[in-house]
Amino acid sequence: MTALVLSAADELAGLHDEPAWLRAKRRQAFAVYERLPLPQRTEEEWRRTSLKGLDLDAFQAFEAAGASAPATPIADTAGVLRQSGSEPGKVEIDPELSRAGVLFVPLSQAAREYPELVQKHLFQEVRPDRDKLAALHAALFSGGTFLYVPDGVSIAKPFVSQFWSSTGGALVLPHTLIIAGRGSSFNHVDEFLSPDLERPSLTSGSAEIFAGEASNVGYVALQRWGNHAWQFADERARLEKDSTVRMVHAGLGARFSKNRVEASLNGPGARAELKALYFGTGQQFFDFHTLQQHVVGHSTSDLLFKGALREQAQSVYAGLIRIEVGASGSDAYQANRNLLLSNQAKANSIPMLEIMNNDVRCTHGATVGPVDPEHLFYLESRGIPPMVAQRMVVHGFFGQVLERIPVQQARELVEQELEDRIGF
Amino acid sequence: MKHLVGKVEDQAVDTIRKVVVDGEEVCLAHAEDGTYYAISDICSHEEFSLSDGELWGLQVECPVHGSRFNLATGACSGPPATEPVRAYPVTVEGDDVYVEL
Amino acid sequence: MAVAPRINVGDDYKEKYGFFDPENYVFKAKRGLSPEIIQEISWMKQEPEWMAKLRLRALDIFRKKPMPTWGADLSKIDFENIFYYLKSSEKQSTSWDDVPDDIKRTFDRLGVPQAERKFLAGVAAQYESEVVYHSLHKDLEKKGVLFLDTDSGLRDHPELFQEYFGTVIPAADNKFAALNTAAWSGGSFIYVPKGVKVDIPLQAYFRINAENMGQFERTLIICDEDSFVHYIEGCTAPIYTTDSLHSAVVEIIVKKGARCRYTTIQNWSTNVYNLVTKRALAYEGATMEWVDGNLGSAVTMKYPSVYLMEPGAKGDVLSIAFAGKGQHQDAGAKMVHAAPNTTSTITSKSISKAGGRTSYRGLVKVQPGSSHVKSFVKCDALLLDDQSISDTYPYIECDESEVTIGHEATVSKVSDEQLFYLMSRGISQVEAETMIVNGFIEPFTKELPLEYAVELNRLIQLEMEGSVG
Repeated sequence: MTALVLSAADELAGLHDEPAWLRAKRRQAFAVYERLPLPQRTEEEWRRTSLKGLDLDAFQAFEAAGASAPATPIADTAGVLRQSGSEPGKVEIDPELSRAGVLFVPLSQAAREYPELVQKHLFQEVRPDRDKLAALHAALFSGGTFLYVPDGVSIAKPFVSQFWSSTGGALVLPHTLIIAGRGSSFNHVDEFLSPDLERPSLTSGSAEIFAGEASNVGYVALQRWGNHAWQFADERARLEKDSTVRMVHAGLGARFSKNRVEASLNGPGARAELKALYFGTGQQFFDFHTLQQHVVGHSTSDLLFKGALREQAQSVYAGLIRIEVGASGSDAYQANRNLLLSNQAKANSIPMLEIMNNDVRCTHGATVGPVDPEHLFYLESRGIPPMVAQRMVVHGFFGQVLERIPVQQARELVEQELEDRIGF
Repeated sequence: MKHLVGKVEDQAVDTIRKVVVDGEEVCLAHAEDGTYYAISDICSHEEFSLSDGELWGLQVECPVHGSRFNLATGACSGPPATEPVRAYPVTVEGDDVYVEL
Repeated sequence: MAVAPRINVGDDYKEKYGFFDPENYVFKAKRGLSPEIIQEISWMKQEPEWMAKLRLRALDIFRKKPMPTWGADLSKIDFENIFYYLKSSEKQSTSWDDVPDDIKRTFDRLGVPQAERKFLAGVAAQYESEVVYHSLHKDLEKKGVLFLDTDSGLRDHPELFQEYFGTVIPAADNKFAALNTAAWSGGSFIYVPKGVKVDIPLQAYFRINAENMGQFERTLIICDEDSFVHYIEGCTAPIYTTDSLHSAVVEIIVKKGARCRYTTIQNWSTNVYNLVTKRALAYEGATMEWVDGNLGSAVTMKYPSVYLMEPGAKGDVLSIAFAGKGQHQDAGAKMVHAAPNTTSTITSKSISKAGGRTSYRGLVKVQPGSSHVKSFVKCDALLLDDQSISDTYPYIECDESEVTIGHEATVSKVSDEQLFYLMSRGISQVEAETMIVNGFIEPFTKELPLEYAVELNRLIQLEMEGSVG
């Protein structure tokens, strides 16, 4: 096995024909990666999250193109990007949109062709110095998506990026950068997938979203890596005045999945909706750390994370609503609901508030429990067989999140995945 | 199944050490009574390593929060831990010390 | 045979509180902590060897353990500038004239009797480090109830003591438990025999009087099967001291079918660091209730906990915190469900004013195999102005599916509608806000003995008027 080395950053930059400034950025991030130790259990964020068994030096720095994608991407789109392993992605986009000034290209290509736009935003919200794994992602990201929608452009059909891995044993670290112009409106879906592979992989799927004034952005992350994957990702949106961002994360895959989902509300009238569902089976482990940061007042955030756990699956939810000094008129809601479907499953929930202004409305809640026997009883008393009743209750449990997925095709896909998992 | 974990003379009386047996982390004690004992090395409270702790007669004290575990039974003396840890049979054959998982 | 240390008390106190006469000797430890000081404390108290050893080991643990990196800011504590033990008969220079006017005014407003004022203000120098306020009624003695200061408990009941001391909270539990185990002095020791219900609350006033003097009370309560006791510590009047550290440890064992209620009204003056570890073990069908009010101090870090060890055990925490200017109340509760069919509730009410900060920090933990657990946590925070801060950090760790755990919290300001309604009826804004705050904490107040409830409401009124020191 080879250790991850600096030259890998250069090789990746070469593979994607990246400009010098981006190479330099990779090198800087690699230095941070080398400097930082792996997160320790003594750090509060990692206290319930064990990295036991993670050997970063066991991974190859990148993955050559392998088999074709294990599933076809969502149909009926405004544009599609496909990327296999660490190979540069391929894009198809509605030419109409290109003429309107929409940019939907592989991230490295954007760095080459639109350096001022990319340089200003890339890794500004998803910070490489947060921990060793974030640094690794920034140093050795394997490509990704750049989506820019100019002022005033509204697009009904979704953009879709599909990333897949087919060999295992390597880093597969896609990065998404979305810039929404003033008053623009669109949805983007990131789909991460792979079959279950023999050798463990290190994957990510980070996204940074810059929502310009009065823009309206939907972002969906479908995390369907195979059960060999260690996944670490940061999704973070920065919202300007009167903008709306709806983020939905579906955590279905990976053996180990650690995601930070964050929104910073930087202008009055901003509204962030953070929703997620996760369904763990077998030995799966999910860790979500969320942040609703109200930097200015008269902003709204609404978070709902719902998870079901079967067999020995475990989850950690830790979320913070932070209302900064002076952010009066903030309205924030946060809820985490956990459904435990087995005695061996384990759920941790830590919904937190830090409120530095009194003119606010903040409410949060968390629950952990089994399928409500009263619901089952109600259904069974109406002649529905117990197995079917249980399916209905679990399905109903996720309904609130499912209905917030802004892209119908993605919603159907997640529903199908859930059906397969509920499988009582 | 029995696993060889070392020689009798490897470990002084009234000491503990960590051994990894078939992937399991085990706290192996050569107690003051001259007997070898083995319990899981992972504290049932916050998963710190018991072999980093101190031996108090026939109990191991967790180094971080002070719960103690009985070497023979794995039973917990009191908070902050509430669960016992697993105890494993140890046999000495000649000079060899075996832990049974 | 050891002789009980005897403490000089004023004659009126003797009549009023039934103090025993102290033997008069003077011992004042040096500032700071060292094995020598710890040994000296133990020697002065004529303790058994096992306690001396335990203290020394705890000191070692205290030194090795890092300061907590979470919670309130503790960086200003200078452990080397604290007296770790001060004998009661030591004469202090403090006089009534030195007590700040605002504290005196508060006493006036609260209607605290003259003698008690001096006592609370630290003027009555006899009452330091040792527990001197115990009224143990004759009928309790007859029932076999023990209610002693902890030093006497160790001396007079060594077997009982050795069986339980440090078993609920080991020295290594946390840095301040280690400090307390090394330097403890005073506190209460209570034993309630099988089937005995103590129908009057047992009360003890704890005090910090001398400048820079640490106070490390150690309380041990054992409720034998089917017994009941209600213990009250603290008082509503502010307890005046200059810079000081208060770091108590309270261990409680509630056996099968017993019930224990522990009520605290804490109102240290606003320069005290109040860092307390409180934990109870509740066995089969037992009930443990913490009623915990935190008003004073610069910094409080306190999370009363209940370990529900056997089926049917029940834990309740009902707490309020009030943080004014410069104060940080980091308080909460822990419920550890280690057996099936156990239940717990936590109700927390916090109020922040004039830049004060309240933090709720709590844990509900369900161990594997603890099925049919029910736990509910409710935290409400009221922010009275836009400089004040409120945090909520509830931790839920659940290792079992057949459970029902819920947590809810809200943070709000005094509602304009309510204020308007009250003010339109001719009530001043301060009065109206006071009424709203008193209404907000009513679930807490109604659990207090009447005289405490009345005093607490008055105190809230003073806090709201901004006239409390």
